[in-house]
Amino acid sequence: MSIRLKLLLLLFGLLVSLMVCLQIGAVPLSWSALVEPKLDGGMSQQIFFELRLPRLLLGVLAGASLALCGGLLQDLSRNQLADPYLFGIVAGAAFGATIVTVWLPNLSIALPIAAFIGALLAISLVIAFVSVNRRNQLEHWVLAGVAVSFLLSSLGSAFLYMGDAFAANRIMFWLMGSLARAQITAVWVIAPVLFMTLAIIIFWRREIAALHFADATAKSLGVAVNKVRLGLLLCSAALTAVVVSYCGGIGFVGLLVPHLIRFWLGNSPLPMLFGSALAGAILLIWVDAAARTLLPSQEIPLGVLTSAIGSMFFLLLLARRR
Amino acid sequence: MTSQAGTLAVQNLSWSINQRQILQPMTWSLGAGERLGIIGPNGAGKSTLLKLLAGLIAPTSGEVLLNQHAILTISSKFRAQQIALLTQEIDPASTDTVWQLVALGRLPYQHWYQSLADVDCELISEALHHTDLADRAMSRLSELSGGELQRAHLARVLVQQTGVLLLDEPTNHLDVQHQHQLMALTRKHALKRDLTLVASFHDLNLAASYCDKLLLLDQGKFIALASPQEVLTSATLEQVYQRPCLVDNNPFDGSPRVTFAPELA
Repeated sequence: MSIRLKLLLLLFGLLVSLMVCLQIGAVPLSWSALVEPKLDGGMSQQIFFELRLPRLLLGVLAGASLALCGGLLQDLSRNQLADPYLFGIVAGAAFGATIVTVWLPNLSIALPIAAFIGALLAISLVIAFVSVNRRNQLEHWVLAGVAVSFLLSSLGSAFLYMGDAFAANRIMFWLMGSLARAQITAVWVIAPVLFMTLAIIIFWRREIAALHFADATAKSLGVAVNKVRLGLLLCSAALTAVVVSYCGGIGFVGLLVPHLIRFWLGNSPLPMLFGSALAGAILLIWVDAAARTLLPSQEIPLGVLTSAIGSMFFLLLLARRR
Repeated sequence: MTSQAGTLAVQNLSWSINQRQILQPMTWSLGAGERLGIIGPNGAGKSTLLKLLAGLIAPTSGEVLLNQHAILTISSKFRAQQIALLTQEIDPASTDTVWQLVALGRLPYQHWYQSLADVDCELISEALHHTDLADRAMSRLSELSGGELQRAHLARVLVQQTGVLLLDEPTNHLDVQHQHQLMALTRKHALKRDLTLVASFHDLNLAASYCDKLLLLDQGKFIALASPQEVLTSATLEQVYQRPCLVDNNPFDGSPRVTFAPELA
């Protein structure tokens, strides 16, 4: 099967998944009532446009973004274990969310904004560290990311410890990840960042391919290694930050999906990254459908399911590969 | 545009990091089509010199001239059309395919909106054929043997169609058969395309057989640049390598042959 055909298959899979998952939920939706609102007094339409569709679109965007960022960061860092949370983005977002939840508990609208600012703080710290150090080496990026991640989590925990139990609860739930807070504004915020990142990836596809090899090799091919790497890091950081701000921590999508897709589609940047985005979207809307319906009266946090499924699948994958 | 043989010259070139001088100032030049071997003990500065020649790092003093132009003033894209580098850092676990790697050699010739043209694909196929990798094009690099992997990287620099080729210890980690296979292949292409070749070696005899000039470095110091016969003398080598040695002639090609005395029990 050619790579093009496989990508078309993924696209088709996404469309089918969308149609099916729109139907899944507490209330069955009938297509006829959607087209003809008089049949049920507009209830189907209301559920569709105000609940199902925003949530599904957010699922598509979040899944695609996380998988894309994971694949991209793995390429940029030449490290198969890189994922979107590498640079302390989730820890930073959680830190921002914590401060707002502890100090401004009644301002729920402030949470995504604070989470975003926290994520930016984490990335700025990493970049500041790397540029002050004047050693623009991969290991510095990764290690600085790990350090910043721990720093911000410990600060966040300290604030949480001093805050009330209610705030701790909210943050815990937020960290577990969910699409339940889906609003159409989230879609309008995430979509442009995702499409901008995709455009830049198309523009720099060959440079990304060159970065699969040693920096000296890429430079000798005329690639402005530092510029390309920093630009793409900032893109994926921004994309992860907006997703995390609205959806909390959804683990393992960014690690698992690119791995599977590399296995199936090969390592060439464009097919791998676009394939990862499509597969990530498919995966997340199905997992969200499961999260909504597995337990009769309540939702399972999305991040709990993705991490559980992802980690087991990952172990299986490793065991099968000699 | 295809390659024309390039000239390389260094003027008062030196490089230091953290006040430590890795390369002491040196001046020399290399004519078009010449094949230079860089030799010297570990830490002599061979890799650093190659990176300077490739324009990847900026010298502390002096400059590198590629076809009489200061290399750092040439745009990186145009530079990549004139000078290619095969580094020592080769990842044997890469899951990229041979084709993907070799196709990178065309990167300096493409605009962002272009994909590989038929001409590019022909060049890539041709290079794979010459490096005996035609049937491995779709294999992952991680599946190749050491010799095949090095040949794949050589195919990549050949596809880059530059006038100057820099190779950093290309025969490292290869067995004797593959060392000679790789060097013979490189020399064949260098002669056919009139390439200027600069390669670093640990194996003095290999360098003597495949290069027409040798540059000897010792702890960042320029010792000599001349024909293998002139550079590889027991007096010079004993001083640099701190070992008694004997220089005679390789019975196959008449090049100097160096034998170091082992430490006797």
